[in-house]
Amino acid sequence: MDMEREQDTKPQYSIGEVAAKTGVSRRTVRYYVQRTLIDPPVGRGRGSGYTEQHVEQILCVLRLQREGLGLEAIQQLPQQALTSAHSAAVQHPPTVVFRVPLIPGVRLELDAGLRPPGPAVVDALAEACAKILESHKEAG
Amino acid sequence: MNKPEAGGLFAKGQRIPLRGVRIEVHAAGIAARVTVAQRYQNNEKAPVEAVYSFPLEESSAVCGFEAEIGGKKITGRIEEREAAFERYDRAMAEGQGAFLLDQDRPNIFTASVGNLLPGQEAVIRISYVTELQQSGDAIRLLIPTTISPRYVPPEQLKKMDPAELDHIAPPTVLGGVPYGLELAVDLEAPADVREVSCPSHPARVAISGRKVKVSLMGQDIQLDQDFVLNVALARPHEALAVVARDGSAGRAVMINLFPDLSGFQRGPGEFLFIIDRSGSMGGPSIQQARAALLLALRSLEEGDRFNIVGFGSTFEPMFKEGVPYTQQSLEEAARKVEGMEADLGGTELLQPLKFATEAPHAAELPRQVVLLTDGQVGNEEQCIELVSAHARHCRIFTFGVGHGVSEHLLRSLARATGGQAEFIHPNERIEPIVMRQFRRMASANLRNVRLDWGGLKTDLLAPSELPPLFDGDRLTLYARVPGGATTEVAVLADSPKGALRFPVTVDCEHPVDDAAIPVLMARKAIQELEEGRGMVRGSAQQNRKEKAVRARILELALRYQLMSSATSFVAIEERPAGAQAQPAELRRIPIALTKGWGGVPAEGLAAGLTGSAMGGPQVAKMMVCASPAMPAPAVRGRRRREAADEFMMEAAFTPPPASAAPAEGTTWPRRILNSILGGGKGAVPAGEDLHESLFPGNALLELTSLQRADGSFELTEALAKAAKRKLADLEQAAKALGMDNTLARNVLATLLALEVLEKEFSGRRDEWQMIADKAKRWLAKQKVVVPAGAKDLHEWARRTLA
Repeated sequence: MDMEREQDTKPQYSIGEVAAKTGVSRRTVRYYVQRTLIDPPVGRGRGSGYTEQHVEQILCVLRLQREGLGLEAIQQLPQQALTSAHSAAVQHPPTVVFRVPLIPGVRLELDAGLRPPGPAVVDALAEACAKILESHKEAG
Repeated sequence: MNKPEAGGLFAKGQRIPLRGVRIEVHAAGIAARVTVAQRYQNNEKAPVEAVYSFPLEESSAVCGFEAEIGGKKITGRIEEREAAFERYDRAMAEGQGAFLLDQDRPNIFTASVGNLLPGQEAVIRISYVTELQQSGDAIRLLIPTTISPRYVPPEQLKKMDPAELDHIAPPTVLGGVPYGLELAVDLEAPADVREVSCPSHPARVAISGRKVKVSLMGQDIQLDQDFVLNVALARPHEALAVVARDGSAGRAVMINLFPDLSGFQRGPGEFLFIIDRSGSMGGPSIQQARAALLLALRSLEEGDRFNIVGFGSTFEPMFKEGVPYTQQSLEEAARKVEGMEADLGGTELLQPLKFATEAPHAAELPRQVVLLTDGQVGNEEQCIELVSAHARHCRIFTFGVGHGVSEHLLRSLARATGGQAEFIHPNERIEPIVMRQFRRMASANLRNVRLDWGGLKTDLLAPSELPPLFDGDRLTLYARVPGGATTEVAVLADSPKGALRFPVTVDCEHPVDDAAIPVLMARKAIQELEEGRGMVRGSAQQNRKEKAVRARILELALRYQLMSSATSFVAIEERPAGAQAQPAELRRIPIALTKGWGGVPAEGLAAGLTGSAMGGPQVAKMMVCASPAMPAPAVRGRRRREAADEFMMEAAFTPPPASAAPAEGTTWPRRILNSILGGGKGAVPAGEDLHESLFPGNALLELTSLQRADGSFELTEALAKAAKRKLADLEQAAKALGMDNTLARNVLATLLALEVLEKEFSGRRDEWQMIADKAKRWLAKQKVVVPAGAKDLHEWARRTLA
């Protein structure tokens, strides 16, 4: 077993330590395990505990929650997607997928996030923004 | 306990291991001991961990936790919250039997029943002590049974601990849960019992002198609304002090006083009414809130100023600023209140509270805020903190409306500002409750209220500051004294009529063995600390102060073995080697949606759902409880559909049954006409007299709603009808007064209204005394010449109207 894999299977942290490292409560660590959002602790009985991978997973769930995803939705994402989404989020800034010119010099940009909005939403948003700009133009 | 149902008990395809809840109440004097027993059974092939969030009374001193499993009883122990959790978590990992009780809010608790083996049954018993609520000769027992869905503001939602959020907003189902409630009350009152009513449930009641026995009728009672029991005593309580042993030499003293503050006339005030119009108030709640607000408006006096704020996701003051109370402003306000619906979305309570506490107001008038709400919010702490900072110039009186109100929020807002909370169950008459609250608001302006301990030394006072004195309300204080002799303790105050003194004798020489008293004392002290008051002094730095408060809560909770925000109960069943469980699967227990919540017809829905394909009783779809927007089902159907909650959709748009239509010849209330005509506020001109009653079937409210702002009544067809007289006869009688015709008509109408109140409603004097006083003051101002041959006006009226 190489060093990295050993680190993943050997308990490194107690529930209190993993909670402190991620800034959530002990109850939330347990809650995430119960909801299968993160893997169960490794080992059994007194020897069980958490690893660096658990820390990564918790940070990932927290980020996805901040992005606006509910726990049910996160739960449905494949585990691999969770980890890669986390790594991608850390390494790359958010990508802009929609760019709609409104009036000269002003455009609407939408961050894809993890759930890109449909074209109808983008159209509606652009229309609303255009109206606001128009009304200000008139008032001005 | 309910017998397990064959086949069913599923939620989201998983079995529900909770089989039933039994609540037993033993009350004597002013304290009650309550035991909540929850029976769990694992009918699955793998071990499970059942997690059940449930409500308890907000002032409960939770002092016992026991698990009975496999014929063994394991007594729970209070530990520091995180330490208790670690012990539970470790025991779970080891496959032991593990039981944990957490306090998530002062009124929301979560029990975790861990590693229940296949086929195994466990009973959890939670015990608490509580004070019975009491005002005048009425005792009220309120036992919540479900947690209503609550609105959590988006910014709060982002910051909240996910596990905490899961606990305060547990999965909720429509159409009822497959575990039921049994409830029994055994009460010994301090005086003979005159009357008992249970507005919330069909109940069997037996009264014998001072003793009352109550049990719920029927089986499998849904845990979907508060249990409410009102006990009327033949005579009010008397001042009483109980001294109990606390430790080896100490004494815990409980003092109960019932100050008589009747006969004071209040001065003018500024009244701000805040009415919750969020989606959760739909149905009976908004109807009752409207009726209570209309009645409250009639209770104001000339010289007062008032404003009304409706709130939901946004808030709308009715007037730019407080307006003088006149006939015109009263009529305008009443008209607008009649049109108020639960159509403003989420429950953003903080904003109207900011408006109430921070908006400029007439400095010479004391500000009284009247809040009508179901209180279903997740940011209680912020709300309490805000109003506490303004407690000096703004008192909040709250009305909790609905089947499952957040008792904690309503009581704590009132507690923090020197006001008082009242609760109106949908099956209760609102008049006595609204009037009781207004009598408090009208209470004397007392100064220099203080406690004279008569030489007794105290080392703990709870609450540390004297609560406000209200006429007839029980004032309860606790103290810990190291010992001492018999002495007289008194509450003293300066009133406009001179010095007041309310004494009681405290006998420290002969303490009783009553464990409830020290526990209630400690709970009261903890409650104060949890709400940001209490006696912790020292560092001004917020962080250090919070640590000091937590340390003090922990010290008290450990010493008295009490649940608190800093402690949890934990019990471990050590299993022999080889008997430990494999990893358990979570079974989150769903709770029933509060009856009538948001106007959702739960019964109809349940009936519609039970014959569905799966055969067994199916639990309806889960509902998102902590949603940033909690729209009213009827007005935001689209959002509901997006949330895939189609059962709710169907319910919202089901046309009312034919029986809901008024019978031929009766009149439609104006707001129903408006909604049918589709014109909203303007469809039926507000001034048009439809001869409708705002309070159909309630003769007293029909009569009192005719009173004008100045206290007088007008001689109209409606008044004649309410008094069961012919208008023409009354008009004729008015001429005998020999004065200006309009004034004579009003004088006669006012005399008539007073006569009807005295004759027809003598047994409900409390409900109309303020209305009558206002009418009498108006009469006195008119300087009417008593017609010849009569002793006084009232005697003349009695004779003339006989």
